[in-house]
Amino acid sequence: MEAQRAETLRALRRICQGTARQFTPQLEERSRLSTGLPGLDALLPDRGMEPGWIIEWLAPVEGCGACVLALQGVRAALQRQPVWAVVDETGEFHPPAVQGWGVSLDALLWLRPSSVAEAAWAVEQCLRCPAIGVTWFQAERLPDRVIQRWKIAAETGGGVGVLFRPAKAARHTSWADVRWLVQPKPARTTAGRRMRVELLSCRGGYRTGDSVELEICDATGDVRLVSAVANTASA
Amino acid sequence: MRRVMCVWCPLWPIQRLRSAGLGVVIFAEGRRGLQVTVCSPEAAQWGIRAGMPLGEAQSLLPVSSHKTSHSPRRNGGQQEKLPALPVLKRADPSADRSRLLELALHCQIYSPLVGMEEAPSPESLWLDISGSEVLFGGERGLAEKLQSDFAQQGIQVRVAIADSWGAAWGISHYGEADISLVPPGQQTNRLSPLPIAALRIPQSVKQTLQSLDVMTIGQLLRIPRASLPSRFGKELVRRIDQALGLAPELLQPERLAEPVFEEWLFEEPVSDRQSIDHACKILLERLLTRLVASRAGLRELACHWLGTATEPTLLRLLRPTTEKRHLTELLRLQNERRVFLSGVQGIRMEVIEVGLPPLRQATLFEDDAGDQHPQALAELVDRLSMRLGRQAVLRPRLVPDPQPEFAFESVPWLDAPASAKQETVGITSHLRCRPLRLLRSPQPLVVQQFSTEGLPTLVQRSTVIRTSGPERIEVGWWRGLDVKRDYYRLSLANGAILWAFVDRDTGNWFLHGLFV
Repeated sequence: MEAQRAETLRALRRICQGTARQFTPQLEERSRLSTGLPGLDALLPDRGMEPGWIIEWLAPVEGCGACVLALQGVRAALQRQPVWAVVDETGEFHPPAVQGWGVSLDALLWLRPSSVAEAAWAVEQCLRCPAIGVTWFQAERLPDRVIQRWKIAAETGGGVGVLFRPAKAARHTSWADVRWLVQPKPARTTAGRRMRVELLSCRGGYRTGDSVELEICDATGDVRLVSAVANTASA
Repeated sequence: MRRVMCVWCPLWPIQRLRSAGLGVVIFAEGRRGLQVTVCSPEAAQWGIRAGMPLGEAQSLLPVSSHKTSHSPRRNGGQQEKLPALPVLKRADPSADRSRLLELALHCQIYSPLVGMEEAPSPESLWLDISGSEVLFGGERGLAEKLQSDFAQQGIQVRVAIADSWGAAWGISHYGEADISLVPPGQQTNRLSPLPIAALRIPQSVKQTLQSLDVMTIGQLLRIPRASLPSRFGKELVRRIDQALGLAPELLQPERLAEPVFEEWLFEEPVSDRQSIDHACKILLERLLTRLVASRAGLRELACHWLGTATEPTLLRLLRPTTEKRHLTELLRLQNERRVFLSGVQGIRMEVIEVGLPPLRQATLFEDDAGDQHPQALAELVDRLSMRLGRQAVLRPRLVPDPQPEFAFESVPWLDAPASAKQETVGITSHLRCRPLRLLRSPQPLVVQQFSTEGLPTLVQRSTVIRTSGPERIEVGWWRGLDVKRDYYRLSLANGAILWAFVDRDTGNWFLHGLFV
């Protein structure tokens, strides 16, 4: 921050002295965005996502915790761009639960379009806006060109698009930069749930096919990486 | 010499609401719940007083809805007729203020300088009548004319004319006559017998003076002036000086806003979309040129389609702007979905509300700004509200209600703009036991098999491998339907986690949410 201020002052001085030259500040190296889960970050190139990416979460059944996993990345993304857009065509998004996971409702732009076409338009608008850090949307089936348009919009806006789809969509190719597949696993505790998250594809083809096992504890709000050590009791 | 008239409308909220012969009790949220803020004389006959809790006031009224009733407290059973039951109304300060503003603008027929008193709940108007009284046959003629004018509108007023606004206010409120004229330079004599409350002093100062047995302004003026600020504060001295005309008082007159509009009349009715868009663009340019010249930004715009029955197009923005590109796009978004059943003869574009346009650069350093893209966000919200409707672009807020359906409310972003910086959020752990997807209404859950404890073991053809709960919610009796639910979290073998409840009245199971 100090360096940025000093650079601004130097530029102003040059202008004031009448010797202003056209200068182009060096492009900052594109910062990485964390998924909020170190276990998933480790599977991605340079341990994170890039601004302008579309992330796709695939789940075999609704209610297996994919949204809670995606929610972990929202906090990190909102530090760069302060607004989180949720395009909720069904009108069944429940905001109080979001606050329970530490995301302020002040940051939430909740859109309730009345049709799929309007929802797709709203998603594109949000992705294109530089003020929106994360855009959420849930869809069963989408034309490929729609996601392609979203991809271009996200690269323009610099936010992250998060798309939730059923696991059967994994059969088709996608314009998403990262595709996660969530497979529920039996949990060991009453307050938790366990799932295996597999990286189906990633821009650059990095560690595709690798997976991690995660456990969500609703009581504490932690999402833990399940140790890969064999269970001694069962061994 | 400057002459000021004060027009006081006693019990203004009551006068605004009152229908003939009916008493009115106005209540509002107070420190201890709902309280009576003001009541009419008819309601006061029932024993109702301002400041009383609303529940206590209601207990004084009979349950029956008879027009007249007999008070149990009066004259030991002697039957005495009381006025009709008063009507209970919630206070609406903004409506009171708007109506008073209408009256102020109406009073411009008596004086070009008219305004409202500066108070949280104003009840008085001031008129600078210097020089205009001759048009009405003197000050008394003017006062009588104004009083009869108000009486025709069903409003009773008390009028006072003096050299200063402070004196006119005090005499109108605490003087004996409905019309009081204070000759020039005589306000000290006329104010002396009035109570100290006529000086518009704070309540705490008034109580202090009364505890010292200083009841009238005359008594107060006999105290050495030099000792007043240290004993009672500077405010008291300022008010005395304003009342005696020794200190100036800034009065802000109300002015009728100049309508800002532009019109385009076609030579013949037009239904061609391109022509309409082009005309809109030209009108918008003209309007913006006028607004930019007055350093104002456009907040709300109405576009009337002359010669057609088509509803006017309304544009309301998150914040004022003069961006032609943005406004043109919004108009296009609205117009492309509009169907003109007949040709448009003309377009009238009218500015409804203006505001201060945003500063181009608020701080020297960009990193000081905090919110980095306020304009981009405002434009996005405008576009979304225009296309999806303002009720589809929402900001949720938590509401302290245990019933899940009512645990939040949604406010349109246009009505509740974002705070510049993200507030820190306290993680409310109990909310993690709420699902991220809540069905619009609970759906009947088909349970194929129950355990011996009466809990589901087979749901939606999937085995329930874990059940946690219950969370008992028994609430909502005041909404009409008593809600008695035991919520359970059902973990199914296929990996889904459901949020279901059993209705304790019927024993039926319902699915209410999914932990997606």
